[in-house]
Amino acid sequence: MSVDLFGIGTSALLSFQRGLATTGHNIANVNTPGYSRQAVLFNNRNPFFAGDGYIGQGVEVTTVRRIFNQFVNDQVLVNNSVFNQHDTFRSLASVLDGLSAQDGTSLAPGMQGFFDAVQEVATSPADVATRQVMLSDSQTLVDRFHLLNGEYEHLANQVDNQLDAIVTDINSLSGAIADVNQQIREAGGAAHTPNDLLDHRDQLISQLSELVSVSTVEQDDGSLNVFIGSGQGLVVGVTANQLSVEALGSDPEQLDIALVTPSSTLRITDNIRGGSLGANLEFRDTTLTEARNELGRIAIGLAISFNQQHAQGIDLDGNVGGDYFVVAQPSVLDDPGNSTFGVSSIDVQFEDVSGLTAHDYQLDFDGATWTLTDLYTGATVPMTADGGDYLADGLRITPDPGAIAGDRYTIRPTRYGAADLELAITDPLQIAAALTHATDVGLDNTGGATISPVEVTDSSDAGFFTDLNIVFDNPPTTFSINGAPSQPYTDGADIDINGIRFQINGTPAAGDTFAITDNRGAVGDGSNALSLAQLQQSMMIGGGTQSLFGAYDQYVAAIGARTRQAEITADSQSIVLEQSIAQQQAVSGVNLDEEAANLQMFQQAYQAAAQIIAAADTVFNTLLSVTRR
Amino acid sequence: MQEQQARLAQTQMQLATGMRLTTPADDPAAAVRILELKERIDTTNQYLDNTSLATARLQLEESTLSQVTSNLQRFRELVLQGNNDSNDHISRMAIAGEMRQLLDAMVGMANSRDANGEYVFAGTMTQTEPFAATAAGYTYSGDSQQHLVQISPQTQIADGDPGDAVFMNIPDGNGTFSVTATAGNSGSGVIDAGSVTDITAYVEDTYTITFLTADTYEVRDSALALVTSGAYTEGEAITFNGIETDITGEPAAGDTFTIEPSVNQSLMDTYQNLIDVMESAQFTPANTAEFHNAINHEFAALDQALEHIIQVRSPVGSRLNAADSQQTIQQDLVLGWQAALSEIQDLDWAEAISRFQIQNIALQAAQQSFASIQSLSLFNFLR
Repeated sequence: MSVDLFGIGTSALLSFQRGLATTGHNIANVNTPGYSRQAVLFNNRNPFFAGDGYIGQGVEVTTVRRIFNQFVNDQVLVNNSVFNQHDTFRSLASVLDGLSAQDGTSLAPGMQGFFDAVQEVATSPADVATRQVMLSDSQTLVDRFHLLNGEYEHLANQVDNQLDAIVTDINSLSGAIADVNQQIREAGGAAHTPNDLLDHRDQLISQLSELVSVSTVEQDDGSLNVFIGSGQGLVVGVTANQLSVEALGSDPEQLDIALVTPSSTLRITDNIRGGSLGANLEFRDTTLTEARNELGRIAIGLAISFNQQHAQGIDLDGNVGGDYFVVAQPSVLDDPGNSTFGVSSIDVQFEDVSGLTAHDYQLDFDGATWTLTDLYTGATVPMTADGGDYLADGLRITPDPGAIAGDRYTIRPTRYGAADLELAITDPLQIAAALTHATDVGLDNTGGATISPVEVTDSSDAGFFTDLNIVFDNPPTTFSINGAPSQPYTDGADIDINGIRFQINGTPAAGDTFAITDNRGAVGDGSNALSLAQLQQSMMIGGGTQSLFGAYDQYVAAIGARTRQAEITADSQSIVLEQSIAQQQAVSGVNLDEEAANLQMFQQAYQAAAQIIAAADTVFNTLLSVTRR
Repeated sequence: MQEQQARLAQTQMQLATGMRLTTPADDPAAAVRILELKERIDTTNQYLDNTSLATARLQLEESTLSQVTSNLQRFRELVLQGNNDSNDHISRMAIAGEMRQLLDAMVGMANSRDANGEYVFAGTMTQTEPFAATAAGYTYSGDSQQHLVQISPQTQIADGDPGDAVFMNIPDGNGTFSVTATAGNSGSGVIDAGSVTDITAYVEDTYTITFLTADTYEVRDSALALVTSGAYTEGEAITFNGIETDITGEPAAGDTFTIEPSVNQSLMDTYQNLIDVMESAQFTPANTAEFHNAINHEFAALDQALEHIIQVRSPVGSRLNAADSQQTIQQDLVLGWQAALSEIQDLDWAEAISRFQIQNIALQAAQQSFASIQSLSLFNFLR
């Protein structure tokens, strides 16, 4: 009987020792991140049948249990990923946002200064100093485009560096998780869980979830498989697959994320979601790309429209206006797998500025037809055939004659629009402020007809600067130019001659004359400069709905709205994350007050159990003293 | 507490800059509005600059034309004075001398330049001196174009007039036809400038009035068809085809007078012709008539010129008025837009400062309550 009591006392002492140790462990780890509190599970030992009843044998420790809720833990993982994604995106977007806010980097002051200078030249066309100011304001505008574009490139480089750093982190974390999986598997036994190892692994996965969205599946041997993206395995059992950052597409500068398994390298850039990795990729591939393309579109719209109008005038040297700006070329990337790679390619030119978008495109050939896909919307873009070429979205695409089925090309029309914009004129005398020809209505005309300004159609025509005298016959249904055979008159119809085009409107009388004279020498004529200045209000892009300033304003607003959206989402996500962490802490966190109470409880229990030993000893001694002789 | 600190920092930033918005993300729609307003204000200020320049040029043109008018009026006085028979050759030469000075001044005004050295009356060929004297008369080397200045999004005004419109394209005679006495007339008939009495009956043609005798005349047109004929009575008008003209004095048989349609004659040429006539006066009765006829012929052109300059000056005045009223409109628009801009982007100081106070107090409260709650623990009570 006393033997039983010793056993019972000992079992109690040992069990309560475990209790104290576990409580002490909890208190010691109150500040350890990722620690789940542990509790000792007591169970009474199997009773002993002693003929007159079942006698209890004391207490034993079944196991040390880890207090945690898998569902709540998973919630924290998900929220962690989402919050980090939005938070990272917000900080990236606010850089873009800040660029458009400051006057020093914003495009609006540059454009305004440029058009003001054009107005000044229109008002005082013969003044060389005013023209010089226009040239230097033009250079300032070009520099402003370069500056903004440079900032975007810089940001893109930063993002790429971030990708490297994040992927390195992910790789070390996945390696560590695989190691812990190994240790947990060796620890073996479903009866006892290696609590601290599990906590460590959970902590690693939580850090991983900050970087990228993950999902986990527990295996029978205790190891945890970790999946990223759309189900690609990062950690499988004790094997950790690596991620790498490399260029896998047509563009050698565009870095992709690849999953490297023993058997293959899989491109998973498009499958990555969540975490700061997802945010960086999303920012680079949507917001930053759009910003660069949109800036390029504005630059190209300005340059092409300005050049077109400039060619309608003559400069102080008497020459027809040449290109004012150097326009960027659309960027075309051949897929390395193309049959004609390095040999020939498609040719893409700007056809119609108002049809240009800020999207990138993909052109595929299936052997018979060419298909153009808008990479931003994913939709197929209809193309109209025009002599062997295709016209779509303001572009003229000349197919590659040697292409075979499966060939693919990436077209980025406005990507380098801002980077490659340059001023083509350095001499202020070469600004074409005047019209090429002056038109006059004859002083003695009795009819009410008027003549339109002259439009340049071909300035290389041999007779371009020939003065023209238009005389209406009697009856005034026909007219003759410079004595040539008469031609019929149609009110408002185009008259093309010598590389120029004009219209006569109204009803002329017999004998009415109109003169078109060579305007070289008319240094005080600023009419073409007036037309150039009016380009500021012209709805030249976006299918005729946006002016240059309008496009820029919308672009600033879009960045601002996107940043604001990221801010709001990050703020609300941080609240959600905090709530889920609080929930998790409520379940698994160490409450010092509770541990203090447990400490007291186990101490008392231990002291009481010690008394059992003392009582057993007394009983034994009593027994001994009875039988002593 | 961190959130409160962040909000407090945001309010501080607003107070420091005086702007409600620090980046477009704070209020994207307002950011667009701000950019639009700034663009409008800047563009309109440019229009106002343009308007000042245009106004300055128009005022220069106006004052030059005013001097031209004074010059013309003085010249006209001198011609009338010289036409008077009480003058002798010497006094006429003296008058002609002053007339020469007036011509030089006139040519100087026509060739005047603005502050940039560009010619005011050369059309758009502003670096070419427009008026020069040649053996065949005064020539114009500018062009006929007007330079337009943008003073509002919808309005352009001309900031000058081409020299040919001002000085060259002036019809001689009475504006419709001019009357000339043939140089070799031996009689003393002096013919006036004539007038159109009935525009519907007027037939444009060259007519010749021939005196068959001292008392009878006939009028033939360019095809030598007889138009009218009659007896000559001094002071009685000769009328035909809507034309009326008077002859005074005593024409001799064989004297002819020509009526032909008006052609353009430059102001300088009119001046020069009058000077030539004034300097060439001799004194016989026949030559006196010739003198008066010549003066009358050119005097009509001078009156046309005076009328013409008045007609040129009037649009200059209205353009100045238009520029002025457009300037006022644009200035008012700018003020309105600046007020709107200020409303959107400027900080409401009262609201911001009171918000700052509240956030400050809230942060302090959070900090103090944190301090007192943190110190509570069961371990404090277990000894």
